[in-house]
Amino acid sequence: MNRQVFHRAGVLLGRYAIIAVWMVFTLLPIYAAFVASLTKFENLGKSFLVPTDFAWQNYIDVFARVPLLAFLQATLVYALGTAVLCVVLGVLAAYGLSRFRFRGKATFVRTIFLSQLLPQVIIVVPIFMLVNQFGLYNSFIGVILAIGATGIAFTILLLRSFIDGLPVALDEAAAVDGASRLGILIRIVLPLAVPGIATAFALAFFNGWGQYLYPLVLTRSAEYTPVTVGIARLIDNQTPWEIVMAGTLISVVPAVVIYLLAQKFLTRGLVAGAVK
Amino acid sequence: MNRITRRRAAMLIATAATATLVSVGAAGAQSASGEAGPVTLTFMRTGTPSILHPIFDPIIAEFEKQNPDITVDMQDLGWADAATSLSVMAASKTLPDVMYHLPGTVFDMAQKGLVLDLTGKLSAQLTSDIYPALLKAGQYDGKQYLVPSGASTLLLWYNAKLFEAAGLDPDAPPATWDEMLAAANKIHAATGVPGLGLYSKPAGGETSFVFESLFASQIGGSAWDSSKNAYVYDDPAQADNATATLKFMQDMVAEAQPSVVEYGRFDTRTLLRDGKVAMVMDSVNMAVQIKDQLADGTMRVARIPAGASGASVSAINVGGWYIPTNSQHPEAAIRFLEFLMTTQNQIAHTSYGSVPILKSEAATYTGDYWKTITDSVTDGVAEGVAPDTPALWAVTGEQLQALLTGDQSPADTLGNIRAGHDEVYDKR
Amino acid sequence: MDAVRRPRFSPRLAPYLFILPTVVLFVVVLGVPLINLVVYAVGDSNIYQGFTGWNSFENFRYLATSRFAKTIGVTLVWLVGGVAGIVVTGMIVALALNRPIPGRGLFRALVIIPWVVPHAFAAAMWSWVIHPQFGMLNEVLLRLGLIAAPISFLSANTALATVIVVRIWQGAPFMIITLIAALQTVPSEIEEAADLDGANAWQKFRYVTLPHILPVLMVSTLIISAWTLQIFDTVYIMTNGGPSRATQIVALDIYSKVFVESDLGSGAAIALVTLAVVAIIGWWALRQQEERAA
Repeated sequence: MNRQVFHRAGVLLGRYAIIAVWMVFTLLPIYAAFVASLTKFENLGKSFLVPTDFAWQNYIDVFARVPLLAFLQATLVYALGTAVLCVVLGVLAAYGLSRFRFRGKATFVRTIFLSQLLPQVIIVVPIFMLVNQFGLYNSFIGVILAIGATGIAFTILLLRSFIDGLPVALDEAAAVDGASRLGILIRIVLPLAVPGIATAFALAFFNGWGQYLYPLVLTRSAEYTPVTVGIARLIDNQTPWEIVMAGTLISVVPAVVIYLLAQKFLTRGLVAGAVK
Repeated sequence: MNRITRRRAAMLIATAATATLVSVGAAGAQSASGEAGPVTLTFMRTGTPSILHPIFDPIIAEFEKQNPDITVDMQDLGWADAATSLSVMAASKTLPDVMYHLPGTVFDMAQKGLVLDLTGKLSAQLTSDIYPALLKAGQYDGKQYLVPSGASTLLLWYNAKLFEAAGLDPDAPPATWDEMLAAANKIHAATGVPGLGLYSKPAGGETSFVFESLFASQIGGSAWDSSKNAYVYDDPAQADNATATLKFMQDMVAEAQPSVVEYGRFDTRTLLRDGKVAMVMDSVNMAVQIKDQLADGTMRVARIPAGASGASVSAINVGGWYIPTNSQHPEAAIRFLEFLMTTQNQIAHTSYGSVPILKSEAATYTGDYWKTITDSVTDGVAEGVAPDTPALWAVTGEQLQALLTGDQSPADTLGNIRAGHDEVYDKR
Repeated sequence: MDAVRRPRFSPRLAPYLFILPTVVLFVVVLGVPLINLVVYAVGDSNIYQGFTGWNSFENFRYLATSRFAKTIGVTLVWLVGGVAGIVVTGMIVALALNRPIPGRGLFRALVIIPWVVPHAFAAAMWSWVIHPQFGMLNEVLLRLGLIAAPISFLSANTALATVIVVRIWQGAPFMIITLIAALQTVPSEIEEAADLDGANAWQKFRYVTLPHILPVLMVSTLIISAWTLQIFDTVYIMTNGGPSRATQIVALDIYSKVFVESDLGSGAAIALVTLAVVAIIGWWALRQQEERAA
């Protein structure tokens, strides 16, 4: 009894130690950015151990220097659009891959994996030509389709390995009851694959959130400019790093909050659907 | 059954692919509108939008007032985006009517027929007002593709307090390479502060620019032979001068802060500002970082020290306006470009971080600070630029890094630079 | 079409209907660029005009140089070090965060931050942490008396290791999130049964947990490898491939060919060959995974 308690405490301590080390590693550069964001431009690079200027004003100035809210709005559209596109197409394809044997399956799987290796810097110009031709230049849709096409591979492969883990017996039972394939997918498989779907959604969401090249090349107007592109415009001979870092840190916050909300909402929503 | 399904699927894919290909093939057929009626010019100045708009919005408003039939639409482009965005805009023939960029890229595009030759299209008043070395920096193969509107030279920025602490006269900054090394050594001995701040992290243009300027000071003329479009130091006859210049750069490392290859220009600026080095060779952009100290005289600026020629000659690096051939309204674009270059408007633009471009502009600046800067322009030489300059810089920057880490002798460095450049020249 | 007339009862067609939307997206958005990549590679091409004429495989010549050989060596170290680092650290942190622990929600939120920081700015942040003069890390180590002189993190000998650590910092959140999700699907009954059998922690991990999450782990590892091969902006900003090409990875080579030297053809040729090599390795890895799954 006592030994078990000690053992448990030891494990807990070990886990905390790992988490603590990782948190320091993760947050070290974030802290450096935070210190810089509180520094006046003239004092950048002076001391990075603790903030000296406490120039909170930078967090207000950043909104005057760049239309940060508009950028965030566009970023949000790209992130949500990518997540929805990838998850909807991804669930369908993953289910098809998991539950059927068909000709061309292996080729399909390999093709989507290899799509991850196409160098963006090279394919971006032809993609631009294409998007322009379809009249989708300077639109959210064009960018989301480009991000989706280059980012969906992982969603499919991940969801497939999750669906693979679900017993086929459930599908078969439902099929006996006369449910259609799509019905089985929606009513039986989806609720059970919740952790996978929520994760795939989050991963696709962040993929869309961090995109730089596609929105840069495929849009021109301010309303389509995401945070990444908007803030990178400040980089110059005399980059105001304090503003850049304040803007970056501000834009990290909604991403994390949305991720947490999405996780919670998706998990709860889909579980509720399963019970019903 | 199975085969039929497969064929259907294959056909579907093929149809989609063909449709796509056809539609892509048809790209580029855009309707051209004439000059009649109201005209909208698109305009781009690469850089930080929040600083640029206050400079250009009033200029645009005034221009639109004087030319009621023309509207100017200013669009944003950051330096970080420039390379990718430019290639896409050029490929799709959507470059703005008037745009700012660097000569290497502009000449490269010009070679491909994408940039308007402005020779003979600019007013004599403007071309005679621009400093000749700057005007030349906008030319390639004798054609004026670029109208310079921003430029930088290499200057010597130094800390007067550290000079005094070492018993040196801050009013007499080092004028030769030997004097500079001696001063740096003396400062280090007296104060413990490294005499020089040196950067070579950005392998490429920035370090190449330092080498080019020092070499120009060594020979008292341009480091670029514009008749051959090649660096003078690549000529075997100049081997001694080139080796001497590289030797000097190596000597500077001994007097500089440690880990030179880990420092970029931003870093050495902060070193000078914080009194952690006594001298740094840098462009006029340094001024923003140390403006208070410049005002109270703690920091000062001088011409870069002279090499064997006895002259201080800096290379001049420019950026400027150009008009792409895809512009639907070249005449209106030229009119706007001329307007941007009026004395008053150029003064506004220079505040973004440049040396004076126009003689009439320089005449309005007063004091020793501006005299030093203006002199560096009048005595300077255009930096050598060709369409393949970025490739040449990549070679030079990489070899200079090897030199400055002490891994490579000056002679070997020169040999490798020459071999690397020859490869680039051979591709032409 | 069959699909329209008999939407429900065509089991042979069903799988194709499920993958159809993805196939269409792929063919439309990536098909043409892929063809373009091949065309660029076999001719004289630049970024402004695309393909301008046949040049008898001139573009592939760079692939035989000693410079490119060094790039390959650097890339292999970068790839193996980065991917192994991400997998190992990701696994350890995911295991530590899997079971309920006070503060888990907060930790899981903080863990993902590196992923939402754009690469360019992450590189700038890290540059400040490791800077020889005003870097936080050197400052702390000096004050603690652990080192006598600042460490040169981006010297010719250390730069590659440093950028790999930064890559791990960026890539690990992805691995952690994925693995936590996979760990949640491990049925707790099985783990409890293992507990009752007296299995120790390692045995439990090796024989119960690992086999269960292996498919997800393999897929994530493959994808992380692909991304690690593609990423260039972090390295570009931190070292620009230097000092003296010590950190020149393939993605940087492609970038500098295309945008610095304006030689789209050579860039496409490098990309194409890389794609072919990875295709073979990826083919093999995916087959292994499928055989295991079957």
